[in-house]
Amino acid sequence: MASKNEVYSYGHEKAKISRRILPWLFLAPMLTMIFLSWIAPVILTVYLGFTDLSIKNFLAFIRDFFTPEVHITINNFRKIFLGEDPYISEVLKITVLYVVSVLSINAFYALFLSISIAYFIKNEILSMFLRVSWLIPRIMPGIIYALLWNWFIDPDYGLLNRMLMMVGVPESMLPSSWLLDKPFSQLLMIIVNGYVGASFGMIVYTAAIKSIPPDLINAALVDGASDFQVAKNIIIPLLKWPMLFVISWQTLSLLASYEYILMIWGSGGGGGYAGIAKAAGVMVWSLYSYSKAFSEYAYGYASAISLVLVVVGIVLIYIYFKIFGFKKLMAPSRIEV
Amino acid sequence: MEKSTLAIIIAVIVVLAIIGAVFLAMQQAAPPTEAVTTTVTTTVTQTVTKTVTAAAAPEVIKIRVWASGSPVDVTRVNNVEKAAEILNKMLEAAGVGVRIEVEKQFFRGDYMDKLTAAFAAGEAPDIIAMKNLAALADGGYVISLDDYISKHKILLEDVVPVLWGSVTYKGKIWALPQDTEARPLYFRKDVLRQLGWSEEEINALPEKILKGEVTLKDLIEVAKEAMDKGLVEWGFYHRPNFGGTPFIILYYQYEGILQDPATGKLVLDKSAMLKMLQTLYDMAQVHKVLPPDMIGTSWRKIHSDFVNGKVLFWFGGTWHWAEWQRVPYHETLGNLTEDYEWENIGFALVPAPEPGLKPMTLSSPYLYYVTSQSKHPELAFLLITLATSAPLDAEHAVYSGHLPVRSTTLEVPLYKESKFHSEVAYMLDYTSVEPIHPKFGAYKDAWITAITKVEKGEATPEQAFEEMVSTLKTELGDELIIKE
Amino acid sequence: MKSSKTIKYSRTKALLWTIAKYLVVIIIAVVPLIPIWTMILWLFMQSFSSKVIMGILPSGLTLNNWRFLWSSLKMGLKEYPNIWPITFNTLALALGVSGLVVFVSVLGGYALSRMEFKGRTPLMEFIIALHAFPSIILLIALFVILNKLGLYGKGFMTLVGIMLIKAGLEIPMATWIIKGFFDAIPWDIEWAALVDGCSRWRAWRSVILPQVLPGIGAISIFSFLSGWSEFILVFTYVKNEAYYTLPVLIYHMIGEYKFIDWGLLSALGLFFTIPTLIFFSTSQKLLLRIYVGGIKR
Repeated sequence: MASKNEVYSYGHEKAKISRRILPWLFLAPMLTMIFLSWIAPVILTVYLGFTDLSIKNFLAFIRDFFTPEVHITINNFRKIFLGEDPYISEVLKITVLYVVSVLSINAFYALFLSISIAYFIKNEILSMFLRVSWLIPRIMPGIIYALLWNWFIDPDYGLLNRMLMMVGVPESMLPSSWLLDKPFSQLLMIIVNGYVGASFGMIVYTAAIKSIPPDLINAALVDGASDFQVAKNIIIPLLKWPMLFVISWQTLSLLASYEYILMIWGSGGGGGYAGIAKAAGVMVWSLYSYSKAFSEYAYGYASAISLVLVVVGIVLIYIYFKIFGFKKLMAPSRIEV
Repeated sequence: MEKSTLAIIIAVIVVLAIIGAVFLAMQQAAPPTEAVTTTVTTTVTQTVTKTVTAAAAPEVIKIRVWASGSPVDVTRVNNVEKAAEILNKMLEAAGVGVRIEVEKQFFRGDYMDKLTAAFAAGEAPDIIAMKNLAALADGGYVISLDDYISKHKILLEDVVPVLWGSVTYKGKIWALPQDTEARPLYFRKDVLRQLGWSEEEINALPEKILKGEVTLKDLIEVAKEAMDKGLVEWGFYHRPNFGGTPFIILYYQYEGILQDPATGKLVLDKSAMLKMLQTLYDMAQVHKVLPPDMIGTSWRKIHSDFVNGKVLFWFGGTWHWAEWQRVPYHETLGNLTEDYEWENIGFALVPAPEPGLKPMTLSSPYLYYVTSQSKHPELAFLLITLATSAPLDAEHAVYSGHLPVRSTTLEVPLYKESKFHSEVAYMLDYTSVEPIHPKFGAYKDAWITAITKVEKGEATPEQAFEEMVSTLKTELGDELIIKE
Repeated sequence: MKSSKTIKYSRTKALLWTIAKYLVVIIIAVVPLIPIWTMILWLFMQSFSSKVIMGILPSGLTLNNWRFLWSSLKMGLKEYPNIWPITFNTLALALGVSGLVVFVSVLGGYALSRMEFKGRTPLMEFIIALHAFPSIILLIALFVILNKLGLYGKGFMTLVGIMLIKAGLEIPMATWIIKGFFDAIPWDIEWAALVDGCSRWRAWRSVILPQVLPGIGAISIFSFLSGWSEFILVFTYVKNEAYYTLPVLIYHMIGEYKFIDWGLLSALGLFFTIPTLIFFSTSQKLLLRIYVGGIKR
């Protein structure tokens, strides 16, 4: 009947529309949250990087976004790139030192680490135990990790100096303060972050190693190869892509990380925000931005410093997508032989 | 327990928790601890019999005051309330139908965030007490008080003169001093006795330092003697990070200034800075009366060593006297008693480094401000003026362990009754203040780096000084004036 | 004979190689763990002792270090707020983050996994990109946003604001993980339910949801722990001591210019780590899967 057909097609239309809206309803909360926590801040960071926002015009800015007291300027970038900020080059040096050193732990040391744990050791339980142990720095709440290190390096109550002396390091070579004395403070910064970062590489590489077809390895072993030779000739070459993945991912991650440095060097100097980071030579780029904003109220300048990282981050992520493609980024450990 | 059951339980808890949290948030849960809000009404009570013009209800002016500190510092807000009471009594006697109502908030820690939020919402209090002058002035949080000060000059004649330096910034006055302290040189009387000093000599020491008859050089010799005889581990201790004593004090004593009064720029006086670095170098590396790793030592060790008599001289603060009575540093006695302190610990100004120079100390006052959103700025100003005047100033000083900001306070009986306060009061005549400049932080960083290096013997005073100069030049740019 | 000599030779060679192998393992994988193990041992030992000898041997068993549970915290002259309101703040933050993340990511993950819509692939790529983006550098902008929303300096509401931000930061990864769980459910099951007469919603609720419960459990635990350990947002945005969370409190106690009472601090640290320990011992496999699948750093 005509009415029946109409009803049928009307219901069909309704279903079609609701089917189109439904996904977006489901996605709406997620999109809102992402906007609040990611997109809005990035846009704002871009804007603020070009302003002179500081304690002087902050109150006015909060009351009125377009207050005339906030001026658009490119001074911040002149300070960064033209060297008008005398400390920036030092910050850059420290950041490069930090990223390169920790990266070598996260990407390269972790390689040998995972070969040792996942391949050299055949006993599953032992291997699991070691893997969990290496994961502990990452899983532990950051502040507890910082607390433990603060204790460990304490000259009177901690064990680091004592342990080093036990293995023969002469007392004269040990610093009186691991927090303040360069380059020990920088060494500490690298090690503290290295322990946390190593587990990332370890997990990626371990998964990769486990996915190597056993026949490949067995064939070599039957031919008389030692475990070392297997590692060198079979495993390592196969881990090229995972290694590239780890290097890429960790580079960006390290450039922006400063939380552990803040927790250890901030609290050590009674200085609140990054108290003694400057004196200790551990002021990395992202920490510098943080301290400029929250110690010196230089919000505009700090945003510009952050913006440099934002841009670098976006560029790097774009490159990763191009190199790895969508699929590989999600399953970097799958070895295709 | 099965994995999925566990998951269900967790999910249920989580959902309940969201509901609970939202509910709580709606309630605007009252702060669990210390922010005390009390509203005190000081209106005319009906029991006053003699009033003639009782009829009309009084107009109420509300003044809000915020302050922070440890529990004993609550007088910072209470004194403003008392000041209002005084005014109210006067108004009542004059038959004026206006009363002042003070609303207090006392925080235990930093309340700058709450203040910012209040300002943004247009609900800032009228009076605040904190330090942080440069940020407050630059940020437009507070108003300058010069006009009110000249209008009510007579009420402020007795402010300890040097303290005006701690409230002046960019040519204007932004606050009134609320309380202060001083930084004396403490010494162990028991060790001096063991060195053969007589009671008279020990008691005369502060006086001699004051007159310049005894200098730091002399005390270094005394310290050496005590160390050689094994009576103490070290002659001198100072604080483990940057502070007024002895660093700024030494610099001032060598006739250096830190801030140019005309331009407000920071100043580096080469000769004074070099000499103070040299003094510290000599103490640590030459005479060996100061530990080379003094910077970075823990506070606990510092107090503990001095309190237990292992160190002869300590560049401390007046508040330590009370601290030693409250924190158990002593190995056997725990908290020190007042008697023990008078028996074994003495204090004096920081002596002149060499003959011909002056002894002095340094103060870092807490400040009262009138905010830029106050609707009764002049009234607020008068309230803080009254709140820091003699009888109220004395109450705060004695009960919170600070020093007064008015010279007239020294005559108040309550103040005179406190032996420590009375004996320490003279130091206010010889005190100094720190500069106020947004970049002073960078100056201090470079300074402490130089100090650390010379004390450790890692650099000579000249080398450390050169490095300090170049760092300051780059960090401060043209905000720095270098005096040869 | 030549062959037996060769065999002996290669046996010794093999033995040497094995020894070398284990030596390498010990040096690379075991020795560096010694500091970590020591630190953990110390945490437990020190929290129950008044003194520790040689760093880790307890002497003088005591519960005094745990006094913060029933009395107020004092270090030197500085007195800290009572531990329980602070614990409550931390708990509220953790539960709030967890609840919000679960709610939002389940919805989003389902849509991404099961629904057809324009822009599905770019959206997925965007979410992965977010995963790689370092959020910690946005703190300044977030500070301004908090102020603009009137959530700064407002005590509990500031914590709520932080909760929203933190949840937002966790959502991309959580959504991706849940999507993975949804992906693993074959269409047939859902189809069967629909054919049997269930509405889409009913099918979702009684057939699909139970299948992803492990994923939801994992996400909720993970976000809870994430909120529980959150430091930098609270540290930067909350100045009022009454609204601290445990990590910030511990930080300030370390920072009393090394005025440290190690016994008290270690007990406090252990107290704080209890939820992490509980969750990890009960749901190890689940969580390790997350760590393996979706690591940020």
